[in-house]
Amino acid sequence: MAEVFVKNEKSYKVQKIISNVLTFSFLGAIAIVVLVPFYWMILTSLKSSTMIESIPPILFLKPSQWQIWNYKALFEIVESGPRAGQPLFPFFTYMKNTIVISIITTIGTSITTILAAFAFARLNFKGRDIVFAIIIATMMIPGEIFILTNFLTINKLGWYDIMNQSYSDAIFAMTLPFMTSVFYTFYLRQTFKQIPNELYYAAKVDGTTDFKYLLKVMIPVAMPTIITIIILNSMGAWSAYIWPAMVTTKDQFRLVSNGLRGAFTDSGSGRTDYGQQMASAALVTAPLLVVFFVFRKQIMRGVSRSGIKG
Amino acid sequence: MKKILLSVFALLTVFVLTGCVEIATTTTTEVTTTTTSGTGTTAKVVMDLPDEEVTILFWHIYGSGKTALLDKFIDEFEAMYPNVTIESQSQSDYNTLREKINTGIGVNQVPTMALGYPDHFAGYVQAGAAYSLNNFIYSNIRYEVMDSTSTIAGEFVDVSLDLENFVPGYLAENNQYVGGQYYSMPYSKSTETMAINRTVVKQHVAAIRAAGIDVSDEGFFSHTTPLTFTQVQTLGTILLNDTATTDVANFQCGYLLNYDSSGNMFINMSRQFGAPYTNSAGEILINNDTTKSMLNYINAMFTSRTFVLPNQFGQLYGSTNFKYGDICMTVGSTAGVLYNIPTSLDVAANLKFGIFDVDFLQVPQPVATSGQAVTLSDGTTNYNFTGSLSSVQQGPNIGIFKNASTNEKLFAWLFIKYITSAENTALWAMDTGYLPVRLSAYTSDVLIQLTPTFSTTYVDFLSIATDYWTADGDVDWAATDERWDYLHSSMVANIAKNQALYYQYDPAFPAGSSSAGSATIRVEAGYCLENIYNKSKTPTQALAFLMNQIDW
Amino acid sequence: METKNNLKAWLYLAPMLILMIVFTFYPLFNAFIISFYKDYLPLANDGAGSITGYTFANYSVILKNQLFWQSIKNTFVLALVSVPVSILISLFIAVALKSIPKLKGFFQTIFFLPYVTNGIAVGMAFAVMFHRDYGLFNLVLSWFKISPIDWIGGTASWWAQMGALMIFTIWESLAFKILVFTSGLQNIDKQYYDAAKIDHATKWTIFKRITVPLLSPLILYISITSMIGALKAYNSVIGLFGEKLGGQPYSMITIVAFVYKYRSDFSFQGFYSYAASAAIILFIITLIFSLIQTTVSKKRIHY
Repeated sequence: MAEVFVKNEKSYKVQKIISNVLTFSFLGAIAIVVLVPFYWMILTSLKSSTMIESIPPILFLKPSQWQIWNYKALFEIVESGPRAGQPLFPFFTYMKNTIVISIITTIGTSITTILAAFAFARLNFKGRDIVFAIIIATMMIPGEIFILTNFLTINKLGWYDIMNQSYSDAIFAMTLPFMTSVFYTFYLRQTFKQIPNELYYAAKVDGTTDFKYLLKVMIPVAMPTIITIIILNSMGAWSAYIWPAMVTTKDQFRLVSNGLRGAFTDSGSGRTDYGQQMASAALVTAPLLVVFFVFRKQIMRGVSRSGIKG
Repeated sequence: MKKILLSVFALLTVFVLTGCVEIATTTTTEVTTTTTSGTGTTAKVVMDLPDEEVTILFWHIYGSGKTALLDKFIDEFEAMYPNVTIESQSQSDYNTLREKINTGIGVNQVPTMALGYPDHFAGYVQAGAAYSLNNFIYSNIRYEVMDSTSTIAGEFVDVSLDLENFVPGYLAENNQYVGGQYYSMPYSKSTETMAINRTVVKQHVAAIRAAGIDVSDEGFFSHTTPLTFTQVQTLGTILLNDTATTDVANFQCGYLLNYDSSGNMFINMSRQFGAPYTNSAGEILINNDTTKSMLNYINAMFTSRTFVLPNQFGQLYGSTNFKYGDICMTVGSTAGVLYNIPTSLDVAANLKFGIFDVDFLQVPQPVATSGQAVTLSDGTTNYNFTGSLSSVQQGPNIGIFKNASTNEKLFAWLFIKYITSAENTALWAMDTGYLPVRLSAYTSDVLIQLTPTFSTTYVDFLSIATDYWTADGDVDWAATDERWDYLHSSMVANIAKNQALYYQYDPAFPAGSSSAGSATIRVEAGYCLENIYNKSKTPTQALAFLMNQIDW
Repeated sequence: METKNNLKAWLYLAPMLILMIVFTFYPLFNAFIISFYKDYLPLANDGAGSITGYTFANYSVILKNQLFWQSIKNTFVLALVSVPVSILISLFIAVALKSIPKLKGFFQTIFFLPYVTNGIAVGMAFAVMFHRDYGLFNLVLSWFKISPIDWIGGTASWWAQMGALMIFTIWESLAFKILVFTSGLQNIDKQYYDAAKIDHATKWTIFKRITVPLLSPLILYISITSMIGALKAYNSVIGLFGEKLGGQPYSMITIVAFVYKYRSDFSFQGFYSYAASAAIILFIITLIFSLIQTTVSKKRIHY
């Protein structure tokens, strides 16, 4: 963005047009960069495996060339045999579990995060900074190193019984370790910190309790951040893989990513059908997109409401 | 913030200095050695079959889409033994399956039976969790099925198993553990075979014969005698183009022979060239002169484009570029046969030789008979080896855990016997592309329904390819004959059967405190060849790096 | 007042702390101790574990591995380039978005999309796009008469691979940063900008003097968390290069990928200790980075 001096109204207008053009081309270029891999994913999901490896790459597909089968396969019904009538790939079971896990962890994470961020941002107590730093430091260790210890904990809590694991056991085991988030606590704390102290002291003078202040002032003001956290956190369940596979004993308790990983890999030759894999990934992502588009307005409304007067 | 982080640092340092947790400081590895006499001639003891309710937990990795046939076996088995329920559960992938069982062993949470690779079972055996199947194999008990609702009511069921009936190479792999006992039985086995572009070969029949290699008019090589590496090199002079691009007009490829699995390539060639690799005690013997010499030979073959790895094309498997005509021959798993066959579904512009004919051969060997000395040459250097015939066998086995109750173990065993019976293993093989584990499957005359309109015995299935080969590719089948659909699967099944005479396995062992386990060594050995192929390391450097990764 | 506040504060923290003590601090502390165990068998004695003493040898096993230094180099280069670049780009985008009230929502939606996708699938899509023979990148290059580059294959140079990894990493990380900065900008009082306009300040001056200082808490948050994230890079490498972790075996190995080399053998003698010591080394490196970051940014941050 070049430095242009503004001299009078007319040249200001010209400059505004130029800067608008620059801004739009910049945003447009980035938008294309962001969108191309998406286009490629969707395109790939409509290709057969031989089309994917075609040289030079196929950039467009006519609807008549679409390999809709990649999508249909997810809803195929077993025709004969003992499992006749059941879905070949229990897509809806995986989806239901994922949504349940997603909702539970998100509610849990939101509660723990809001309370903790409030304490860190607004309350003065002994050891605040050191506790905060220790919590931040836990982000610096790759979480998978905890798996074995946490697995043993879950087992001690009685939620991993390979003969009799119930659905609620599996839900507890999958959600409880993920009901906190340092990442979002830190984020929310920074947002809370932006809210001027004066509001807090004014409220104190009025005799408002801390909790009431948190509910009535902090949460509404920080709503855009909280909604962001809710959306982002709810997506976690969509990519969780190792832990859900570890602590569930039955296939019908698992999540979409568990189902997707193996479903389109040929167990004999070990090959993965990329087209089918992409199709299933797209299909699994679709609900997320819907949720996002629904909540996008909420974010905007929240944003416009949050204008804080200093 | 800085202060805060510094204090975390200090705190942790204190942990280091003071942190001690009470832990038992004894290590005892319990090794069970149940001695069982290996004679099957003792008189049978007849007993009533237990009829208490039994639930068997069977863990595998077959995704929900892949279990149709397994579900059918389970259904049939439950009808035979109405008191038994088999709960078959996929545990996502082999790593998760192994990790869950290994972790479960410590806390008494293991299934009754599970699928697993030999190194998995080696770990279970070491942890004292696997159950010796010798207890069943040599049992003299014969049960009478008393339950009137059973589909086999009134029949007698032997616990023992006739091992003579199994492919010997598979048995050797499954009793390689401590005490020479069986801790698993072969289940989904496969091997590697070599696909070859017969359309290209056919154009060079005269030149190939002139070079002293047997080939039919239609471009078929012997299906019983494997090509030697010397012959492969000779074929290279005929089938390879001067540049690394395919010459369609002259029917020449850019690269000659692809190996899909660099890990298998390293291990199998080590055996073929008599280069020590590992032993069952878990000792790593790779760092020796024969291996070095082998790596130098392979390096020379990479340079001359006689050997190639899929990495050359940015692929995991060579089949795509084999179809495209970039490669003339490719060694890969029997379970992936059909990926090598060009069809009308492929993008036509990519198939340089169009939809060409594919034939399957045994994988190349250094010598015609094991124990012969062999000298290979890259044109300037000679490499001397004592050659052996060897081909890989791969795929998971199936075993039972000690913790299960006596009856659970018994029925789990009967289930293993059932799914590996001659007919069922043949059916499983034709359905999945795996190979039968029993020799008797090869002669079984039970009709197996493959499609609603096509049924065949395994013997007939094998004859599809042999008929085709005998007629030199000119069979009088109608174009609509369903045998065409099984031609390539049948070719591979025949080749695998011929190769079964010299199946070899690499010793399976879990990781030790200062060395990697057999599965990791296989992966790293493959990487060693890739590093040589990429020229990112010389053979010496690549070997040194391999040793650095697996032995410390 | 103080003591009352103390108790209350801990009550607010309790839900998070209790869960973290069980599922984070305890295993973390455990991993720390385990990194000094000799011959640790975690599941012996009915899951109680057994050791034969204490040792520093696990750390020397890690340091002796040739891949350790390779992983340090890769991780540092990736983090030091991709973090600042992605922060700058996303700041510019957020500022640009603020200046166009009209299509703001439209662009915001587009920029957010990468966050709503399945990581495995995106990695695969990028791997296909970077392919030497049938990839989109080389096709585009060929339009400009540039000969194909091997980005992620066996003959790819280290820089080509790192470049591909950086492009992928930055692409993936933009969405969240843009979101944080846009919502952060909403909270900046309009008065500041109006005042600047009256003073005829240039956009660059406004950016430097108003936007960056007022966003500084969020910039600090983003830079610390993305640095930690980048130093823990793993999924992006797997997504782009697969289990081989590079065009050539291990050529793009990161520290976390290095930790994972020992992970699958956890239950075998000593392996948990190796993984734990590698993780502790990563922890110390990250801590040092964070210290430097906070020291450097201390003067510039306005709480």
